[in-house]
Amino acid sequence: MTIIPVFFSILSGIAVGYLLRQKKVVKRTGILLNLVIMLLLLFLGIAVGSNREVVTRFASIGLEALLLTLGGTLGSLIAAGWLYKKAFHSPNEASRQSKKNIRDKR
Amino acid sequence: MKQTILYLLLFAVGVAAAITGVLPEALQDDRISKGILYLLLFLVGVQIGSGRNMFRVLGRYGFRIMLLPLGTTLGTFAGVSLISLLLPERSLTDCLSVGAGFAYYSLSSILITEFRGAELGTVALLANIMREFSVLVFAPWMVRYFGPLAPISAGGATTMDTTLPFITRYSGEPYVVVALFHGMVIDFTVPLWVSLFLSL
Repeated sequence: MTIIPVFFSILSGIAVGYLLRQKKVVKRTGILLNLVIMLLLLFLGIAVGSNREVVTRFASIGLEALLLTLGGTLGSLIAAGWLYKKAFHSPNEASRQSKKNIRDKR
Repeated sequence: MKQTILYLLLFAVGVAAAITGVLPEALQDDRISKGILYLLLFLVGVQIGSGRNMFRVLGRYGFRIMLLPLGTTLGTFAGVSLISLLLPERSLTDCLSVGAGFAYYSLSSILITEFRGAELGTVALLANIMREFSVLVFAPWMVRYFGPLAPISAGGATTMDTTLPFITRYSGEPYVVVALFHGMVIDFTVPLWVSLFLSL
């Protein structure tokens, strides 16, 4: 069960963040988070580099990634297009503004 | 952009160090990175818990603003599920966990590597970097063919930071709030979806 410790870590973070939201320490979370991400990406590189399978199959891994990106991104684009027509495309200031923007760019 | 390059550089340093074998054994201990991973998730939580403006923006757009993160999520999962049919070696849940990174490549690839191995983790890293770059490169095209919400959906979790300037420019000023809200919601759901799909 992967999800339980993950869930617990995030939820305890949310609770601590909420309780300390007025404190200055909390505002520095971003910097610390960035450092931790950098450290973990270094570890990720080490894990990838010491895995022969990944190094030799890098091209096919790249192709898989490209396909998954295409699928996921196109799926979300179609959802966004449909949602815009159904729920956002009403005579409000937002849609008029963006149409004007597109026209200006053309 | 600068940050992305720095991240990739660190990743490359790690790969090079492992291949050349200059690393001490102790650094390859799985428990160290797992411990730091939980620290990362805790910090992600602290940032969410201490943030103030997530619900303030709800008033102006009402419920409609909540539909976009939902659309992004469902659209992405549908698209990735179709692709999984083309990849017989990968299970549906593996593909979904990659898709659930929503361009948040650091967190998703770290989680996936930790729980599923470096191979799928690398797929996740590359796929989610490509997703972020797709917005940086194709935002004007996305707006033209799919409307102003399109680059926001494509940007996934990054629409409150790295891709925001591009969205502002091509979708228009009024969509900044939509993009901020979208980014915050997706950002928050990435670790949850990824770990959910990994445990299925």
